[in-house]
Amino acid sequence: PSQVHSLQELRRSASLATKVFVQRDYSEGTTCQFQTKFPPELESRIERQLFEETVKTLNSFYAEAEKIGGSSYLEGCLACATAYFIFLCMETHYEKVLKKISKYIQEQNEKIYAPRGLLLTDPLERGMRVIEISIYEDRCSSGSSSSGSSSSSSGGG
Amino acid sequence: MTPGGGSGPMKDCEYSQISTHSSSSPMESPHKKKKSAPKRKWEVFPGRNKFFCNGRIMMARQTGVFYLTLVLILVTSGLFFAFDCPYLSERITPAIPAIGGILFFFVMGTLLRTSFSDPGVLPRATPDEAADLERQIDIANGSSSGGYRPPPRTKEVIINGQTVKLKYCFTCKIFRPPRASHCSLCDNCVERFDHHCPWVGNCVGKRNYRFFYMFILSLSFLTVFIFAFVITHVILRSQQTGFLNALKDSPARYPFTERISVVCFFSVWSIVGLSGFHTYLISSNQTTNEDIKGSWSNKRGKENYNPYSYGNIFTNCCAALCGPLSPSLIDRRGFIQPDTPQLAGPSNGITMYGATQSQSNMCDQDQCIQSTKFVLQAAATPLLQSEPSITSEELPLPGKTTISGPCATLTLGQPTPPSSMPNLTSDSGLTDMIPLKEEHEGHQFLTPEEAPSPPGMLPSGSPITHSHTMHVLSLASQDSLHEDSVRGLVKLSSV
Repeated sequence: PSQVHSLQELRRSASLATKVFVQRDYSEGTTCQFQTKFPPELESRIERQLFEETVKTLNSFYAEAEKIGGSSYLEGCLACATAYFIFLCMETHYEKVLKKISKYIQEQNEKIYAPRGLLLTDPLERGMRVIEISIYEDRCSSGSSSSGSSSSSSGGG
Repeated sequence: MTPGGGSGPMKDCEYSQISTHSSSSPMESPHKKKKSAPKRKWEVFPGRNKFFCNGRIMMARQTGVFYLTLVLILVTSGLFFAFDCPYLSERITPAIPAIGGILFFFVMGTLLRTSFSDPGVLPRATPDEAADLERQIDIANGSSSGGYRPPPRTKEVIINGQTVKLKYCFTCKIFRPPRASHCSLCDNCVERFDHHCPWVGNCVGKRNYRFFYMFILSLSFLTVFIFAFVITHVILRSQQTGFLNALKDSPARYPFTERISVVCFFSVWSIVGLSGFHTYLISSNQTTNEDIKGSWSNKRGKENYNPYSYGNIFTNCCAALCGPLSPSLIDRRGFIQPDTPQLAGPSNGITMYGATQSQSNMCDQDQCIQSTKFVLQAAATPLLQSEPSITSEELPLPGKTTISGPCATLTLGQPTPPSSMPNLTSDSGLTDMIPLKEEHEGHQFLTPEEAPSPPGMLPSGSPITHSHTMHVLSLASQDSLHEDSVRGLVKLSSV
């Protein structure tokens, strides 16, 4: 954990130890928000403040995507007027924000999480249910593959 | 010890799954993999859906009634344009066929959009997620050994001051978000589930509710329009020549006129009624499912109110109809990635993690097998690059149901879920069904608006057919899980 990994090195040399799942926070309704509660498994891997910062930024992105306001009404009415054929040519506001989110996650992975042996998964790939954080053990430093396999089978079993 | 007979076919299923999976695993050299065409995700989709146009179009399995709807609309409109419009456009104004044409175009567009798009299906949990949830539930329940029937899994959440219960879906292995429900006909959890509509051949949920509403609204206008002008046609003709003579004069037209009128007459009442009902639902921000169950009615208690409503009718309508359109979460046209999920990295587009999603439709017992497999592969194979050029382009358009070009080949993706999966649907079916059944017997939900189309209004859980017999098998499946996972590991180690 004290060693610094780049994302490439992480793929080659690390083995997956376990995964942590940050669940959705439904207290404000059905809008997409994630819980900012700090998972105990990450206690030793990353600073609480960095993690909370990431989740809060993601939450604000999703709030922006789902915002109901002037521009979304305009988009909706225009789409309705064209019998929704306009979606064949135009990207929706939501999709634009999702692109921003995936860029942000990639950037966070490269700068903050990979150096600490962690990896964020875009919630879109998990049906917007969870933010999956993969925790890696460095195979070189943690020794033989037996310890790696035992930890991963305990994670999966 | 041999498990019961019910799990016999399940064991066969499990072996065949492992063998097919290993044949496409990247333990073979990479160039060999290119020989077998990479599969798209819709081909292994675990729900009971049909896919057309290589994954662009998604419908429920039973589409017969949808074709009936199409035929009714096309034939009625066609006859109207062919036989009534020429006379009317001469006699009154050519604006009549023009407006009729626009309405017809709008009706067809929204109908196809409703039928072909993803209603908001929630993808099933990946094995890791499911395992994590199970662990948390066990901790919460005090890790009981789980008797004949495990305790119902619910989570309570407070939304805008109202307590809402989130149910665990045994089929999809997730806690359903609020307002989501599991459609037993399509075997999917759908967000903001309204109902399953056979007339449209699809579920109606978060992503296609506005299309559905626009469809029934425009169809109401169209039927009223056609009805009114057919009557006008007959009246005008009868003024010219007398009523009976009018009918005699156009013997060919008479049967059509009558038939159009009959179809329109019945349609008008049912469709207009349905539009009215859905207008009410939109303005109070409820789903059909919630309304039928009486989730937010005052009868349940004075403190009961709808936490999702924005307070005023205008905002509710705008939110439902003009709100943002969320993208499809199931990525039908993405490629299934090779089997090195956990090690790969950047989430630009659908990368390795797609593989875990395709595996989510496998039996539970594969969880152990998969994780040990990953370790072996991590040691054995170099990093296989994902197909970024294709998949990253897929990401911006997962929700688009483009009907581009002739869909000549209707390739029906018939994914075969593992036979153990239906065992587990019984629980979700039962838990959803029990409260609903009481409501059924209570007030039969045959309000005048819904009377002509009760087949259309099927909230999840109402079909009782397969849940009863399957429930017995769920016990056997629990025992065989251990048995099979051991077998799987033994088999794997011999690979």
